[in-house]
Amino acid sequence: MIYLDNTATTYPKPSCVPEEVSKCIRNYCGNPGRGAHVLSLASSEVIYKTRCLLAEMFNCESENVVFTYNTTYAINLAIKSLLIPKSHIIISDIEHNSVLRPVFELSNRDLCSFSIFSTKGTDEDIIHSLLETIQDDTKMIICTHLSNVGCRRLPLKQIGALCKTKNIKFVVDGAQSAGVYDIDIKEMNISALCIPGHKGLYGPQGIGAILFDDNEIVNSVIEGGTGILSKEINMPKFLPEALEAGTLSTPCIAGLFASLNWLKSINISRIRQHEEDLYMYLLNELQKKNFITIYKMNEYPGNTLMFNINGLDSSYTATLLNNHEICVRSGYHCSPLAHNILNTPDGGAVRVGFSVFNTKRDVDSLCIALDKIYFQQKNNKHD
Amino acid sequence: MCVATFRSMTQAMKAKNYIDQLYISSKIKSIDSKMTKKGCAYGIEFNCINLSIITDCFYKNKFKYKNIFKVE
Repeated sequence: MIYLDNTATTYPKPSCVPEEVSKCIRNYCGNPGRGAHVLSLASSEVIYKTRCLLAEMFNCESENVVFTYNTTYAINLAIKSLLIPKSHIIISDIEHNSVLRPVFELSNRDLCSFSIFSTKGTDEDIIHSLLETIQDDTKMIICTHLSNVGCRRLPLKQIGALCKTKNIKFVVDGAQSAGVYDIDIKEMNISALCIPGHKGLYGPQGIGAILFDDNEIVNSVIEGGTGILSKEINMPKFLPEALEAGTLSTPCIAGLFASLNWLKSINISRIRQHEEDLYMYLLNELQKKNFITIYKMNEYPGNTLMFNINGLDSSYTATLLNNHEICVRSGYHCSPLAHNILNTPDGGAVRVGFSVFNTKRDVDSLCIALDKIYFQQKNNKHD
Repeated sequence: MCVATFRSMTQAMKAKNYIDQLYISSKIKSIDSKMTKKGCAYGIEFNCINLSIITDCFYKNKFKYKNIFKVE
């Protein structure tokens, strides 16, 4: 089986990940932060060490790392905890539904208004578009670092600098870039970075995080037990407990702890280079096929490429590739805004995403399968 | 023994990390309910001989503790 759906979830995981998850469940999975007995402390310790690894990787304080279930939860929590009611929010025109839907919903409830800035053109064009969209009451800009349907990487440093001068909160969706491209919260003036554990960080599903730039008081969104200040009816007003009501998933965090240590031993620039090499190799091969349409946002390499076999619905192509034991993703990838920009047809497109575990042989197998599918369909039409 | 108290388990873990780096033995413990007005809290127990070294370390790292008290 060849797995090329790494943009959704990386697979396989390094062997240390399932080993640590299993070790946690078998040996030390007490309730974290809810006592000082040996098993509770063992869980608390692995959670704290994981906070420290994330804080080191993205440059923030360990107590500003808030664990969530995934990036979508992280983005929702970040937006809603930082929201100033009745203010104006700006998002980009390539946002995933994890950004578009919560902002749209807040707007529907009359809690905010929002505008969309264009990501067409150069980085300077993007900043120009953003400047034109900012209003006096703009209090938050939310954007992805890297699109999940192409290689468009937004200029976080320039956007962050703009946010700083205008005193605007800057929330970043790092779903596709965390673990692949460098992100520095302080250098990029990011207020809240939302990341998944199960993509470029190679951890298990069920864990994500928000990394805040400071520990200023945020509004809670989910209220409940925190293991501290139990006689108080109000939630704690400090991070991470203000946003971590209920029991955390220690096994998932333990798995992430293992994967982060593994990543540290590799160096993400090598992973990035490997994935970009595979991207360029696939792009080059697909460009030779006159029955393929490629959808690209720019000329830069990345780790995700979209295409269609001309005349075939993307879901049908993905089904046929599955028959060749190749896993890809079809449809709109929860990113209707970006698909609009790319002018994909009804039914969306086929998406291929690479991880560190893919090889050129995987790309060759994909290309052979695409040839077979195309000629088989062509012959079926003639018959 | 001395006990330094913190506002959360996360802070207690961070404090223990600082103390470990000083090669001083310590352990995290739940704070006696008589010592806490607002419910569950956590602290770090260590030998009072090391009190000034530990408070200096917290000060240098701008790390805040809630209180330090002596226990039997």
